[in-house]
Amino acid sequence: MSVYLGYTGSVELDRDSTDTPLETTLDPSDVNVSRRRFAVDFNVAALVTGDKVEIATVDGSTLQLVSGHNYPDGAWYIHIDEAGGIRLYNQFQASLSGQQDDAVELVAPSAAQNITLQTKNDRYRFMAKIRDFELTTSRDTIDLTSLGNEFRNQYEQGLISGQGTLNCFWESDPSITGTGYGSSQAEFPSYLARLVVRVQQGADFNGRFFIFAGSVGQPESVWYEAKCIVTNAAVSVSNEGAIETRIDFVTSEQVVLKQGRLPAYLLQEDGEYLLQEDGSRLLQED
Amino acid sequence: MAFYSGLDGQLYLDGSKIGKVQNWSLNASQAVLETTSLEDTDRTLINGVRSMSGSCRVFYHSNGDASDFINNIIKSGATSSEDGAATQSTTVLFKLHVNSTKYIEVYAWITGVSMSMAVGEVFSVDVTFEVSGHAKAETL
Repeated sequence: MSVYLGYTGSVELDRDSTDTPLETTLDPSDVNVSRRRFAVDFNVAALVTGDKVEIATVDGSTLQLVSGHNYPDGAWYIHIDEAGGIRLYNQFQASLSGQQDDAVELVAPSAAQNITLQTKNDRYRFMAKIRDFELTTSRDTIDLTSLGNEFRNQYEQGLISGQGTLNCFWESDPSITGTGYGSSQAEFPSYLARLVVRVQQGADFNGRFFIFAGSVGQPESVWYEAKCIVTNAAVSVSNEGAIETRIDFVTSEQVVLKQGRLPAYLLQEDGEYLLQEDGSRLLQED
Repeated sequence: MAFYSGLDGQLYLDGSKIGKVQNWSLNASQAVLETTSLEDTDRTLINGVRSMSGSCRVFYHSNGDASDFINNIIKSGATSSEDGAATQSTTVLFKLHVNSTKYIEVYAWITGVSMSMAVGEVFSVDVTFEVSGHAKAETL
C-alpha cells in the first residue's frame, strides 16, 4: 500500500482584484522621473507590492505617466516603497524587489490628470517557502433534540465553513536572500502578512491547496479550491532559528475538493499564452 | 429511577402532546405583604397572591406543533388595514410533564410568541405564558 508524501503538496495563490477603482489626481510634481516613482492621493495601503494595477485616465485622454506609452490606460506590476511611492514594472518578480533600474521609465504629465488605479490580478502563482499547511472543512451542527428523545438529533444541513493555517519561512525579497526563483514567479509569505493590514480591498485571496500535485495531463491530482480571508499573521523571530510566519485564514463562499488534471493554460505554437479579452490566460478547461 | 431529565419530559397543550419541544420552564412565586410595625425587632409578613408563569421553546415542524401556539395569539381574517377586530384569544391548558405520571396542569394565557428565522439556526418559536388561577392538577 502506498502513501502520499508531503513533497507532492503545494499552495497556489491568486490575488483578488478590486471591484471599484481608486481615483487620484496626478500632478506633475507627483512624478519623480529620475527616481522612476510617483505618488497618489489616496491611502497607498490599499495596494500591495506585486499587484498588477490598471492605470487609466478618467476622461479617456492619453495617460501621461509611462515613457513611450501613448494610450489612455495600461497595466503594470507595482512596487510600493517605504515612503509610499509607487514604481511600475513589467515583470511580477522585478516588482517584488523594487529596484530602480528595473522599473518602467516615467514622464511627468504636462498638467494635472485625473486617473484611476484598479488591481487586475488574474493568475495563480505558487506560494514559496511553505513548511506545511492545514485546511479544515467543517459543517455546523444544530441540535434538534426534543423532550423525550433518547438519542441526540442533529440537523443535517448546517452551514459549511473552512479554515486553515500556513506555516512558512519568512521571505519578502528574493534578491536579499539570494534564493533565485527565476521565472517561477512565486508569491512569498510576506504578501499574506501584508493582506491583513491592507485597507479598502480587504484581506481576501483565492487559494488552491494541493494535497497531491501530479504531472501535467495526468488525472491524479487532488486539491482544495476556496476563496480565503487572512485572519491572523504571526511572525516569530528568534536568535537561534529561522524566521517563521504562521498565516491563519478562513474560507468564504464555496469550498471545493477537486480531483483530476491540474489546471493548465493553452499555449500558442510559439509558446506564448492565449489570452482572454480581460487579459487573463485561457485555461484548457475554458 | 432517581433522577429525571429531558428524556422524560413532555408538554401537552389542550390535551394534545406537543412533539418538538426543546425545553419548558415554569416559575411559581408567592407575593408577601409586610406587616412589620413600630417597635418590632423582626420583619413580619403575611401571604399575598401566588402567581405562576412559564415559557417553552418549540421547533417549528411541518406537523404543525408550533402552530398551536402561534394561532392562539396571531389571529387572521382582517378585511382591511383598519380592521382591528378579530377573534379573541382564550386560555389554554398546559400540562407540563416531568415524566409520564408526574406533571403540573395549569390554565394559562399565552402572552408572547417570539419567532426568529436566522442563518445557521432551525426556525423555532419561543412561547411565554402567565398562569390564570391555581393549578388544575399537580402530581409532583
